[in-house]
Amino acid sequence: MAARRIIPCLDVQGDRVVKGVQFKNLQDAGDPVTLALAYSDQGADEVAYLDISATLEARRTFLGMVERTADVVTIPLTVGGGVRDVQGFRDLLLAGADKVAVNTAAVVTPDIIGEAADRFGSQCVVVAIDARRTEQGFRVCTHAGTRLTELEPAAWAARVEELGAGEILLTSMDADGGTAGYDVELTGLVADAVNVPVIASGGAGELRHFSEVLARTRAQAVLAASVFHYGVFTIGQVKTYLQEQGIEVRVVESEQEEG
Amino acid sequence: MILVYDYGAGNLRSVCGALQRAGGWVRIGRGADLVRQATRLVLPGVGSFGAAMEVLSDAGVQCALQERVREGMPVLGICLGMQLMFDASDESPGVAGLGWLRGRSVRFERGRIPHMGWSRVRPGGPAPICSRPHYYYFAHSYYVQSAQETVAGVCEHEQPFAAAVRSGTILGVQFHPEKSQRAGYTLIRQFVNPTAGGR
Repeated sequence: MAARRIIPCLDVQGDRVVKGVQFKNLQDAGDPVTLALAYSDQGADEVAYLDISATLEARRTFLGMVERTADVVTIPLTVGGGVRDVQGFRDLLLAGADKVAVNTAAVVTPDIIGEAADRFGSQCVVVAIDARRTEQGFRVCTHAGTRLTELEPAAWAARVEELGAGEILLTSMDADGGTAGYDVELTGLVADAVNVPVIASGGAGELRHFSEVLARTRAQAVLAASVFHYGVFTIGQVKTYLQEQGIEVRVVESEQEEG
Repeated sequence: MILVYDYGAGNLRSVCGALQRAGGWVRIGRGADLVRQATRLVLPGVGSFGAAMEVLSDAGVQCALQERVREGMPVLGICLGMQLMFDASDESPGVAGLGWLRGRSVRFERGRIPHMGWSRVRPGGPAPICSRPHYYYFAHSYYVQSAQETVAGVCEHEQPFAAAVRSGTILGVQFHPEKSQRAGYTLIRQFVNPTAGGR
């Protein structure tokens, strides 16, 4: 089995990183390529970009920045945000993304999953699922968390797997933006419902949050943003901590270990 | 000229970038003429078995490929590219592969599928790709069942499988060296220029 993965995520508008907390209150901060390289050096297993560009112009700029990233970053790159159709998939893959994530589009037009998987391979297709607690139980949200659906996340996850998704990025909308930890219950439900890898997202604040979700659920990977962007701890520190907890992670090789 | 064969699907940018950084002069393309002009060939890891073989099974291309391989042109197959070099794949029943190596690809039955992430590869066979274990990045649902003597690296995903195969000047890796940081780059550099020092 592969080592568990630590994935920093950058919210990007055009070619700039924005440190957002909940899709509001945006603060400009830095060049995505520089940050992606820094995270790669720190031992990140992959890096993710969430495109929150609002205009067509910003989207074009974003694509150019993906190209620059692919030219220099030597770990896998997942890109998501506003992907509406297979053409959008294609544009991002050709620009150098290794995986493309779809969220709302998967709910609105589920056919996009199978179409993308058939054309590009399911390992390129990530379905992002945002979910929150309601009185009826967990429900999937779309449109950047603003619209609630009737879909139950574990059932939806199983469905997208059937349709051809190669991986699921699961974000708890209750935990996201806060630092009280990943939603272990939600993550466990979804990870048990599918056989594709599941990435847990939303809520990381302390080192123990990483081991909690990885030890108590079958999530294969964790995604985090603020804790890394604000330098609360480094990816190396997270990996050292996880190793001490007996969770297998990839330790970045030093110069001497080639060959 | 290193030809990165274009089956028309997916990200070729990363592998081209890595080959260029390693000092290679790279062209993306397809067709018998380019195959004959190439001094090295890369079969990239994007798309599906059936779709890629549809592009590769053009008679003229097949002829050129067989010729160049017989002449000893080095070939690097990455992920799907490695699987294409064998006889067949359960991913696309009835479709013949390039048949340069004996064996076929079958789907994983246990564990999370795709096998996605960084896994440890240990040296294997008479001509291993590394002298000690390294992590490389994998993203695949099928793996190759091949003859023992071609295995050059072994990995585990609920079971051992061939992470790399080698036969003469043909090298196949199931992982993505262009996405495997330093260890991957070392392999790419050795493919681009085998006479360059190991450091």
